[in-house]
Amino acid sequence: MTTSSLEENVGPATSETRSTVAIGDFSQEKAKWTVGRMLAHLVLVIFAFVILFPFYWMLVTSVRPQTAISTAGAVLWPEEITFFNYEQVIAAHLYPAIMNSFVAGIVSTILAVALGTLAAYGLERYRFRGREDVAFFILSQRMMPPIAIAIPILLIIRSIGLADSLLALILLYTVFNLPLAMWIMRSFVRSVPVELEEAALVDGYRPFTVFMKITVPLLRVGVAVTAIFIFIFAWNEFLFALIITTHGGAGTLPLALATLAGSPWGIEWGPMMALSLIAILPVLLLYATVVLFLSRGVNLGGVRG
Amino acid sequence: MTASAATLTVELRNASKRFGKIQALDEANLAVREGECLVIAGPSGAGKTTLLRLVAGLEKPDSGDVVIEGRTVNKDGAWVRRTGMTFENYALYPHLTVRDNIAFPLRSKAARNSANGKESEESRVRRIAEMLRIEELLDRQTDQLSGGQRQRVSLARCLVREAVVFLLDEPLAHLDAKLRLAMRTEFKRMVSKLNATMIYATHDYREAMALGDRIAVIQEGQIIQVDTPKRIFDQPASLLVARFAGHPPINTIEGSIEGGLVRLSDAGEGAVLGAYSAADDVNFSHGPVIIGVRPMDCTWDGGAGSGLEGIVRAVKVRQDNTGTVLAETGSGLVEATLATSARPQFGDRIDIRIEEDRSLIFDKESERLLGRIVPGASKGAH
Repeated sequence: MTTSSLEENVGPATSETRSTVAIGDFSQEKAKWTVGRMLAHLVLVIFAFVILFPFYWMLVTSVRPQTAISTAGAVLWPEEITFFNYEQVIAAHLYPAIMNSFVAGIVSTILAVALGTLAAYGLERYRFRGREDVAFFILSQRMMPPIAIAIPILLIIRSIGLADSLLALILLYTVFNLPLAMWIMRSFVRSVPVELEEAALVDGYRPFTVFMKITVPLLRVGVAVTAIFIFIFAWNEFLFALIITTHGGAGTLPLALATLAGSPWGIEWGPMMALSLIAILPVLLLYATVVLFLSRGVNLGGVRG
Repeated sequence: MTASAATLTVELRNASKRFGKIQALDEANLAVREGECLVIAGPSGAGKTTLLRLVAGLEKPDSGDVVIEGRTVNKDGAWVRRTGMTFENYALYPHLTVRDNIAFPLRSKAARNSANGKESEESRVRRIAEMLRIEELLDRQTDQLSGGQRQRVSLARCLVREAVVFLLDEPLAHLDAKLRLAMRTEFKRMVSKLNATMIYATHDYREAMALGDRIAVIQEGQIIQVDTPKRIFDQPASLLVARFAGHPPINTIEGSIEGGLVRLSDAGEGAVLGAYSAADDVNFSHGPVIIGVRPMDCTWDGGAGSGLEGIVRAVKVRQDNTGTVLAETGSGLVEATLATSARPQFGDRIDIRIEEDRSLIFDKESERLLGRIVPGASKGAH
């Protein structure tokens, strides 16, 4: 009796049973187009239109020649399509503004997520007096409106000789995003069962190795989601870029965009829309990645390889 | 590794551990001999897991010492102690395949340094997987395993390395009844084959009896008795141990010792069961005692018994027509074996016979074992 029950359990799982169940008698009922359903769809279509139309209009404007924009005003369909605006803004702003944005965003994101993960791990795994107070203090740093400390920050940055430098932006973005990174990562760390780390300790690994070999791989989804959020914050940041950097120096993409709105020739609609779309593209891609991560999150993270 | 039969592999010396208000382990003393399987048995929350975690190095004792191979290891981290451990929830690494899970302990720096010239990782993993019959699962992800398979993988990961001691925390607890029984049998085969030192925690007395070379019964953080399964069953140090070992549980009947004779409290004038084994003179007396008799040593044959009367509350008859009767006596419910084909009816008043020489006498206050009843003496006392 013992052997038979064991072999049942050890043998490879069969998928046959599952497939036969799936082809059952249940013919899927076709969704009926009731009045309520149609109304709901109508609302959704209007909503989607309201959301998407500005993007469409940006796209249309970005491919029209400047002359057409200034003479014909806004149109729904471009008279002629040109990529001159794109060529112009990429030539003018790829270096340094776009590159600055990438460097500041990526480096500060890596720093904030790495430090935030370590801080979250420490706060979550080591019990000490006042632990929750420390955690809340860190988060509270994020509650202050940045504008309130903009002037002191500018003075500090100047006095240490980092004015108009990428390093200053990287440091600021790291410091400002660190509390958020720590706070998000904390709940991800909490979801990693502590027994896994204990098992690895017993298996002969030192605590830091356990962190790197067990905890970090299981935090992949958390790290990805946090990194994306923080990168977007850094990418879109305008205030500090404005006060401590200059356009053409360490200034970032949002700063370059602002200069297009205030040029001596009035608002340069075509180049501005082109650059705006370039600025939005990474954000859209990253949000799409977040959605993908979140919908498949469980599989990618805890349980699958 | 030094090896002689009497070597102690693991010792706890007055080890205590407290979590907040709970004294998880209280001055525990324990010596595990090399090559033995010592079962830590006790109800949940008794301190079994804490004891294993102290040995593994996942907890530090508040006071007392943990000694492994003669060396006090209180200050050593878990990673240098060379123990193998299974966790109650298996704790398989979810991002690794079964093969990588099992090989994980072999890949630590310390294990690789000591592995020079020994068996390769691949063959070691394969050998242990074959022993546990999971070789065809090696390339699976852990979320593709059933509960029984997970349990085997966790055992394999524990047993794959050359550990000083293997610590097994309720490894069979979460399996269904049939698989648990099968695994118990198989585990016994493996234990004898591996000839390894093991500490095995369980709350299941059958598991403890079947697997343990010795059993340590633990309750509320205190180790009550450490003995062979046979002695745990025959000479339990306390009522708790007696209740733990045996199913259905031992009957507890109130009595007293007067003039060197053991009497039943609630049987009219007080029926005499026999002479008390440890009475040093004929006038020996002792306050209230508990007489422990296992259901297999209480019988009802339709006639007169030992004067222990009760009202029938339930009759359990098995397939093979043997059975037991549950009767409510002055000492609560008592279960007795039916020694006749006659069946008592619900509400009948019956007189239960007690096998005096198989009874145990416990002090009512401390619940400690006092002695036994001397067979034959009862006849003279009547």
